[in-house]
Amino acid sequence: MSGIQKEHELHKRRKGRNTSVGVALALFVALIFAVTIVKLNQPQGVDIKAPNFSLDAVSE
Amino acid sequence: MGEIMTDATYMADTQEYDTQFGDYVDLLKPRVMRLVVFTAAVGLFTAPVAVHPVIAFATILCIAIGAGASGALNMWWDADIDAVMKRTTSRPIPSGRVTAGEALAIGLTLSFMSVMMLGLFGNLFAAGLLAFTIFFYAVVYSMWLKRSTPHNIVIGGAAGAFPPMIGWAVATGGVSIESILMFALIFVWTPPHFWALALFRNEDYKAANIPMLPVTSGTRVTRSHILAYSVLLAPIALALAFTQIGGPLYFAVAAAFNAVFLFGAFRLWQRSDQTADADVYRAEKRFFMFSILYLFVHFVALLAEAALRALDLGVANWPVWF
Repeated sequence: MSGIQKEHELHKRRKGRNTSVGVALALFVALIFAVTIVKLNQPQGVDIKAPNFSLDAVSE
Repeated sequence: MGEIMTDATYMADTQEYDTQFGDYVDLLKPRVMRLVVFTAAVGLFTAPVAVHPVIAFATILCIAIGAGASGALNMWWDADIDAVMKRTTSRPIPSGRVTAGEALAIGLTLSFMSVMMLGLFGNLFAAGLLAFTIFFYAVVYSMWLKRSTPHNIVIGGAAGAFPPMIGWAVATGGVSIESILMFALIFVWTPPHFWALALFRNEDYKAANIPMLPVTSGTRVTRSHILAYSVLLAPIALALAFTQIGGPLYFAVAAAFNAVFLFGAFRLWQRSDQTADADVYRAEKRFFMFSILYLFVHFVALLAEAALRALDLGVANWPVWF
């Protein structure tokens, strides 16, 4: 059978790199989640850190 | 016409060396990133607007990744000269660990991602500043100035000076005299720092045909320029003491370190090539190492002043002139 086998030697060689990329992506997801929670708990309309967002824009 | 790729053909095409995750990290110039993280954090934490710790962490990470991305683009563009200079031959591309195409792809992707995420995590102004910094380092400095003028490092130094200004912009949404002076401190510090390095790495730059000041105008002119910029640097460093983020502790540190820095620059100015050759550029190397400590200590002192103010231990009647 052709095609890359499940336990191909290539997988073993690249295991470290693939694991690191996976961990980096997981941390990126966790960071976005954490920032989302913090932003949702802040009074965004008067928040100087988010000048592109205002409560007025939401209520219109 | 395309071929069906089997295990056998795929294995035949692969290189002997498999790029590791650490090689990609090396593309981002981790040592430069450390300085960027530190100065951006000082800009953010000394600002008069409090930032949530999670937002602070996320935005500083974006600034660091953006700086790293511009480093990757710089390595992609400069791969030919990196291969010639001793100091840079072990970088990922000249050493064959990462291909130029990969460096370009990583640089562009991370540039776009870091700017976009900083806009979402922080604000659009800070994101715009980061985008400009990446453009300035990758295009204005690397592609244009570095190979064309001996003042490459003077103008290019702006790229390294932006991080505290971006950190300040994350907190305040704008620019003020404090962030401009932090920018100016790094901007004016950069030429004497790199010219001191260029004095004892002159052969490297000659070999790579980069018009660094010692190559184009000689070491005498370079020594004079180091002294001139050091004289210009002192009032900028001291002026920060008399802003909202300064104070007596910072003033004492700045006064002491600028006196030593000026004395070091004066000694370099007095030296000739014969003296420098005789002691293997000892004074130049010491000045270069001290310049790193100089910048680090100034920013630590600003951070210490911010901590003292937060603990209500600041001096109430300290003069604020700017």
